[in-house]
Amino acid sequence: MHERKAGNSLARADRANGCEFVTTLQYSSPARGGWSIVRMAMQVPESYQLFVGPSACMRHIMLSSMELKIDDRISWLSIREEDIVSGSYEKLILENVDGLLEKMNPRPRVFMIFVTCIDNLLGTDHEVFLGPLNEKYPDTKTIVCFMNPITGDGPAPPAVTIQDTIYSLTGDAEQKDRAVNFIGSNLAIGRDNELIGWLGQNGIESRHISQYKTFDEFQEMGKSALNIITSPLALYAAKQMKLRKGIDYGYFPVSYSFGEIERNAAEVCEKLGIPSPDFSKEKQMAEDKILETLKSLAGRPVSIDYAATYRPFGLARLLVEYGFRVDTVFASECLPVEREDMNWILKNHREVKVLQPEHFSMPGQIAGSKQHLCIGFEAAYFTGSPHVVPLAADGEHYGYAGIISMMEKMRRECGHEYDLEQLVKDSGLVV
Amino acid sequence: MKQLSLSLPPFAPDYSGVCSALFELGGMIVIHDACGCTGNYTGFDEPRWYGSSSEVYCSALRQIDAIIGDDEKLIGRIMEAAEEMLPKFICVTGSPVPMVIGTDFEGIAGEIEQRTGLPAFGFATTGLRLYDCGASDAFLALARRFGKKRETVEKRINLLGLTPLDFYTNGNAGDIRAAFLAEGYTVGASMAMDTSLEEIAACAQAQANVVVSQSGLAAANDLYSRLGIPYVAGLPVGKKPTEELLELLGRTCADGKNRIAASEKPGKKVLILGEKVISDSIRRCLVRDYGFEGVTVAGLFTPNAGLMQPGDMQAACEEEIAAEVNGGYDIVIGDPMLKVLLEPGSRTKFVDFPNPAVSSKLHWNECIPFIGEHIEELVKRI
Repeated sequence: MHERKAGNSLARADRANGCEFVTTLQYSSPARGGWSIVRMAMQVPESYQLFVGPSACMRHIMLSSMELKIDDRISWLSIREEDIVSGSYEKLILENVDGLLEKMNPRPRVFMIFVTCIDNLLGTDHEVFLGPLNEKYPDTKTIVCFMNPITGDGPAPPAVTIQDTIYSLTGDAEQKDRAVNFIGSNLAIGRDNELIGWLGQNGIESRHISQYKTFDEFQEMGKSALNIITSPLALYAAKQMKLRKGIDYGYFPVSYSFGEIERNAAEVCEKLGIPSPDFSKEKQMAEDKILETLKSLAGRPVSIDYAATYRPFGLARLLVEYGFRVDTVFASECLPVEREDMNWILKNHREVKVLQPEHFSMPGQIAGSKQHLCIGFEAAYFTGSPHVVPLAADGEHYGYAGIISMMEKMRRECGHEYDLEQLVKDSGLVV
Repeated sequence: MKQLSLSLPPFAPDYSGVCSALFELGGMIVIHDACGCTGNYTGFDEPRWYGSSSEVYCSALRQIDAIIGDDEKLIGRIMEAAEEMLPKFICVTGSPVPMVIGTDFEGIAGEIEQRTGLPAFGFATTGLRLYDCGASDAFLALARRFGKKRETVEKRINLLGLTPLDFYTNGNAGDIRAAFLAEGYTVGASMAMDTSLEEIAACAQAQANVVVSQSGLAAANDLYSRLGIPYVAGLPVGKKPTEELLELLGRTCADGKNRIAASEKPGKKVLILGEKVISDSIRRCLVRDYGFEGVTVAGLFTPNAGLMQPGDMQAACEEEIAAEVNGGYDIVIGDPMLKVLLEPGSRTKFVDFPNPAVSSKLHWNECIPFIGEHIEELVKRI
């Protein structure tokens, strides 16, 4: 054992090797988190969730649901060691869900049975309970969902499979509507978005899961002509919708690059057979807003974290290209779509630090800078600044309108101070 | 449907108890899980987490590691981090998946200890048991590891069973210490809030132990059976019960006999739901200082035969807790989340007494100090 070196304490990306992120024991800062699986699945109208597993697995799920006041549509069933050993797990689920559905009035349209990590190792036969339940309660679609972070580095982590589950519940139609779905964003893209406006002008409706109040209305997402995938979480779901429902899709993620925004819009229009838009006015507005914000920040350092946006390196690149002082990007991974931006930053802006927030050396690494403007909760936690753009998974941002919104938030939050601990608590984000 | 819960959250699990017990001691604590269990603890069961530099980590367990039983990956990651972070000890604690695959935590701890030369602890926590079991295991491990025969120091005591899951961080731990200091005692180890590993290493100097929650009882029994250090179980709550507890402690120091503070007659006036030692202590105060008659205690967590008194109740699930809350009491004292279980139109008065192991950060800012005369604040609400 050697003495701990003070200068060696921050998690670091290895620039010489193209910023390889390392897997270590994982630190989970108090500001870490995102939308839980519960919260995502709760967007399905008239659905109910039952979590099944060791009681410990459900503590953060239930408490975060209570924080968000959505716990009236959720309950949990604890399994005991004897249930696992005796193999009575499936029977236990069947009896309890049956008992619960029997009492519910009205019954939900969808009953989601969430199983946890241990289910992957028990070889559960889900049909043992799904078959009888769907037969007995035909107006309630009972399905199995997965909250199994043990699959986190595989092709189907829970945040991906839940998107597939959600959209598998939409309707089918051979004749498609003149409509597109935006999938992969937790929040609906703002109605002031230029692409949504252009689509509307061409008679194409834009749909997002959050707009539906009833399960029947939600069905129409299965009749849209195109899925616009705004984050990688929904890519698998879109591929499945193509197979099952014949809905075309395109990966047009949130971007902070003018070129990519234009290309994405053009490709969307091409897929829909409508003319490409001229967004030069919107582009100019975005640029003006960036310059206003640059002036307003007056050299104030900016930190960005990867829970705030799926494009932390793209956003950092936009900012440094316009002269902002980007200090740190907190990221644990780099999406393929981001790699070019990350490499560009590493090569051209060595002053921008890249830190892994979950690296084992991060406990207690709070800089105490009150000046930083932080985009995201973890960036704020590690810099110690009260100036925060409280954003998770890009929020409602998309396109030029998204950039304009981001700039407005950055300007506003420079003059505003948060109690970060309270802000994190109120956000309802969970690990 | 005893295993079904519609209104209450699961209570803090065993691995949270382990972590909470060891949090302040300068060790490296690793929860062997995928991430959700660590999120449970750091996000919901640890009020000291914000701003802390304590080393609590997730092992980032993945399915392939579980299937092939790759413990070496876990050990390697711990070694890598320990070499840089230089912890005073290392703890590895389990979660549901390691339970299913039968991970040998003691074996892993032994391997780590051999390679690093640091004390290492392994706990086969499962997420199926409650925090008090985990904390109990951790305190017991500390006592066994560090409780070596020392020369007894007169009027020196240890406090056993302190975690924020029972006592929060609003001064209760300090108030307990102060109550004994005021009577001329010195406090050695206060396992494990406001204490150090060095103080714990000197725990065998104590003339007696004070068990302040049921998670301290196993360590107390160990120190008694191995080293002959007797204990008293109870808390200095209110005036007369505090005097009586101090009197019991004096007798225990003199004759070396274990004692549990006396029970009171149960009845239908008041029901207190919560941790057993705390609830018993509040009951004594209500009866002895304030003249209440008929106060019943119902344990919410792991039943402990050593602390059960005649007439005590125990609830093991939401259905049973609901039955007790609606058991015809005039007053029910308990975590505010339990209030929802009162039947519509109930005439029972519910008095909020937040418990972090139940309602976590949703109510822990409302926790009230209850040691010594601070209990008046709770009594005013009755």
